Amino acid sequence: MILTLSAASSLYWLGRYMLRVEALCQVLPFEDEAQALAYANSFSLSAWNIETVLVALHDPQHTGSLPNNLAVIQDNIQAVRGILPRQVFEAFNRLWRQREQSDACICGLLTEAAAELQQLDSVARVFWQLGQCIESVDMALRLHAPVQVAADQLLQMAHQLPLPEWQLQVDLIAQLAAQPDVPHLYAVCDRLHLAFVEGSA
Amino acid sequence: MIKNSRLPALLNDAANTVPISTAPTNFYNEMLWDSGEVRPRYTEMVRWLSQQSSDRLEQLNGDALEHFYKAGISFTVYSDAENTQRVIPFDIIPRIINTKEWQILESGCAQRIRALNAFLHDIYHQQNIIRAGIIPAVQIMNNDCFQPWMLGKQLAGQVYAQVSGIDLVRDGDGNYCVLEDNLRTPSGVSYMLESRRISEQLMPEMFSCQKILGIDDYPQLLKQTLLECSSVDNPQIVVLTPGRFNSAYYEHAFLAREMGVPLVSGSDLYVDGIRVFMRTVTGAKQVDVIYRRIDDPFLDSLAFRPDSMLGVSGLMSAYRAGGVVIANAPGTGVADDKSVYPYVDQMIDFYLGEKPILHNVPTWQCRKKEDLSYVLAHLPELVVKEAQGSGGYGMLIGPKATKAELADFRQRLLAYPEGYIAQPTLALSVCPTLVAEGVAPRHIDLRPFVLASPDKVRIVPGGLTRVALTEGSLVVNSSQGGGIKDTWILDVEASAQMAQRAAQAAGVQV
Repeated sequence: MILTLSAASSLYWLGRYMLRVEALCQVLPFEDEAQALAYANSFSLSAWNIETVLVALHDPQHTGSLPNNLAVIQDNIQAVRGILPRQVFEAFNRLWRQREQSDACICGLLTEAAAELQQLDSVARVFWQLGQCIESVDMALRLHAPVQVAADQLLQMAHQLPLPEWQLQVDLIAQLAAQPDVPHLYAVCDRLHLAFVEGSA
Repeated sequence: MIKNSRLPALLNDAANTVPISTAPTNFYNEMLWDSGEVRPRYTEMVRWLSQQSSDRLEQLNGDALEHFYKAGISFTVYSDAENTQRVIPFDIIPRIINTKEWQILESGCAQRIRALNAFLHDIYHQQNIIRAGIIPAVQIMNNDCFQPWMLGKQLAGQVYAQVSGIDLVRDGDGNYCVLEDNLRTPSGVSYMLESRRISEQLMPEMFSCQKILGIDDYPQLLKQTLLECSSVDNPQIVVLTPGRFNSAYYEHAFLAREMGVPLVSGSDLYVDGIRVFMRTVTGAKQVDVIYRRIDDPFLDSLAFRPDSMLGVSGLMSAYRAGGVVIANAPGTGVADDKSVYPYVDQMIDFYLGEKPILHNVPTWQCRKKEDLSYVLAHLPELVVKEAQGSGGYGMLIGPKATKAELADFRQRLLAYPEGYIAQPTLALSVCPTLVAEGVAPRHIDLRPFVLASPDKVRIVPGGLTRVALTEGSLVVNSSQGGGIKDTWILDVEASAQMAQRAAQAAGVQV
């Protein structure tokens, strides 16, 4: 299968936003205020207690909100529609059509859609998984959680990128795994962005 | 021997079956003869309908709609402020054409495309048709779709329009005629294929008891057609889309997926020298054939609109140098312009030395003084169209127009007569359609899709049947509230034999 850079980029961002929503699904409904505020601070949601966090999370105007995250997922799904098996698109379309439903319903549909993505072509799946792994590291760093496991998984995954074209990115990811911090994460993200726009070499 | 059947004989007496309107209409009825007898091609359909209740048929239409929703088979209505995605209404009752009639349509469409391709080659080379005085030079040279970039450019097999859609209607006598040709980026083929897919799912029994010709191989035929247009071994094909906000994006993605080729946007491609390359995760890959679904003005910002962000800068230079095939070729629009359409019959004679198999609808060209006078005098009876319009926009249907609309069009015609043509209000044929009151006749048209390569012309047996769902409406465009139907090309003789064999088999078992 021939995968264009733009499609790879869309799959990467699809992976990132899907993991973001999946992670949100795991903490909703928040058990305590500290957890809610920690989440809000990590994703730049202007909120000061559980109620305002929940309002912000459901406000489409907020970039970090659930509706906005779902819209980005839908955008990326549309962008790669030409390579998606029919059932995969249908699963995400079901999610999009039910986006006004309860959080629990949305989370369930997202899980179903994620399972369908296993049907993706192997090359395409690598870039989706790359997005998931990067997001995992990003979230750990944002939430000040242990990051090494996520960073190691990212490195393991990076070795599946097409070589030699993506060697530079793999090297940067190796540096991130050795020292998992924000500057190294940003270096990887910037380089990936550049690769998706201008080519990996 | 196929016999005609009286409708009442086929109808079930059960009280809850769907009512089927048998009232005579002033139009050609696809299902019924004027006498009220069922045409042979509809016999099984009527028998099937007679076993269905209105609720059941509504449920099937609902299932079809749900299928379209589920699969995201939608289109964008540009006039809608929010560009909402809509699902096209589907009617479960198919439009049925018998194979004998289809053979005529097939030959007629193929003939037309051969003539139109010959015309395009001519106007970009010797311009013999202008020299012969058949078409005035001004109508070609002043046409917005005429592309000087194409002058002298040699195309494989002189094929300019690899993919075309010919819009056909029946007149009051049941004769097919061509309403318009679509040679630029005709859309709708995915709806044709999805209609068949859902019909097969919802009424499989109709497909097992009759011989309905298949259309599933369209994507592979399209791919084969595109391959045959390239002189390269194993050419790389891509589908070039303007992007997900285009009304036909679903179709672009569908065709790319079905053909197994990349769906690309302009930003995925670049030109290096005379070659076009695609940016992929494993480096640059040369592209040999571009099946473009972008209109000419947006194809190349260096050649056409400089503000276009949709195309590929330098593409026309690469194309002119022979580095890539573009299908359909730029500049094909000049052949499907409504002001050129009146000359197609003469083109068939001029280029092919043949008599037209399918005829045009009589057309008045408002750029001609005498035609304009006639049109202005008969405006309330005519349909007036923009010469370069499409999608049912910018047209006047005289008999349905208000006084204000007539006055508005009168002004437009006087101000810019070259921009318009007029045709009689056609008595489009009617096809049984499920509506609130039961099964009633509604107006339809037909768009078969024609594939042309240097090797051959291919047409899958069928097409997109569009139906005006509102009673009396003649506007079938999906953007204007029209719906779609599956189109069955039915081998009536073979189907009758199948029915006979089934009956015999049943008899043996009994």
